[in-house]
Amino acid sequence: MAQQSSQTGPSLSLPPETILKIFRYLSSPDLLRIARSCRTLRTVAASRELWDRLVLENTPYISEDGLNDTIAAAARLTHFPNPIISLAKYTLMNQIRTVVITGSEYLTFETLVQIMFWHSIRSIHLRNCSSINIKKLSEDLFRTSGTRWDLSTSYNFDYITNAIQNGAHKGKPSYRFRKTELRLLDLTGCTLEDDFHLSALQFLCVEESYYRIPWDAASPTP
Amino acid sequence: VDKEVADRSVLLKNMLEDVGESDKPIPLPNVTGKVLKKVITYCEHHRNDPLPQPDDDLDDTKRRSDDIDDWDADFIKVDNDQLFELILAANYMDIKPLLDLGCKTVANMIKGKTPEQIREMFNIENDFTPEEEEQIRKENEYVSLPLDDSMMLGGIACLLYYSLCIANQSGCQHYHRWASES
Repeated sequence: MAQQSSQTGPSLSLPPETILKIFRYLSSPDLLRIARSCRTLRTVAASRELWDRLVLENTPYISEDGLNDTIAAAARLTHFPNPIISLAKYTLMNQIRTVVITGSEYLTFETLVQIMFWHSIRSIHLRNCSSINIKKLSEDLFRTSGTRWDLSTSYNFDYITNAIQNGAHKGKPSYRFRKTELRLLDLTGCTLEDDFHLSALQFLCVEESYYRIPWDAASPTP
Repeated sequence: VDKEVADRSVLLKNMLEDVGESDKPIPLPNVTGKVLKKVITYCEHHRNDPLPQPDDDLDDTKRRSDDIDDWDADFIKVDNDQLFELILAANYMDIKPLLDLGCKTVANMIKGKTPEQIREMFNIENDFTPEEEEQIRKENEYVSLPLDDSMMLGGIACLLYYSLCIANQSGCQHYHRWASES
């Protein structure tokens, strides 16, 4: 084994399961970079079990474009033989279960709302994302989920939830209401103005889901 | 070595249970003496820790690599060859916390490095052909489309692609045959 490691480099003497274990600790951009180092590591980095999550840590300048580029590069890596990049991206997006984005200042609500409706998405962690305002997020999400109702006052919200629960939206295509599949929404350090918009978010997610939001810390923590 | 220390390794624990109480040495063919000494140091320090639960890997929040305590950080400050030997030994002897520690350390070394730096650090050869490298470089500077547009385009492109395939395979041939016959 000593001879082998002197030829191929020490990291390649590790079994692939162990390399995979190491790669589980890496963020998505790190995985994409290591996939460019050599063939063996590229094959391991393209493993499907590594791409059930999208991790962008401490990326203050990540924008929608940056996120898209990451997804596109990951799609090319994991679905290499697929000639159509958009299709590969679509497949990749629908296998992602977890999204972790920390410290982003430019992430938009539109992007986030789209992520929330990906097929397999189960948990989203948005820590210290100062651009995310929970009020605007819940309003946007409510609009996207298929209602035409306005979420600007809490009186409206009670009316809307009652209407949805009593089935008033059924049969009317314009009111076809859709919940997300989210089980966990971690909004630690995001901007929170009132509890009512939080309950609106809660209403949109699966019932048994839970949230990690510091109630006392309404302003983003550095 | 105390039994408490040896119990850190699942391999040794199972072997000891099979053998029972005896003074016979247990052979460890894949681990060198130097690495074994390191492993024993680690196990002695962590002899009173609770044994790890088998399936705590599934929790996303535990996949963090920055929660290494001071003693461990100091312990794992070794050169690359020794680090990899330690990981191999931990893997072979089934000592999960040590394996995790090793993996986290390597992950921390990789973080934020360029492909060239990674190659240099782990003494890896660049085995891509120039064409492949060009291809990989291109895919990383892919010009992006908004998420929903790309989904729609994906659908359209897929339809077009398959209809072209079908047209190529059957329709055109039939047409040509029909045209030449008449």
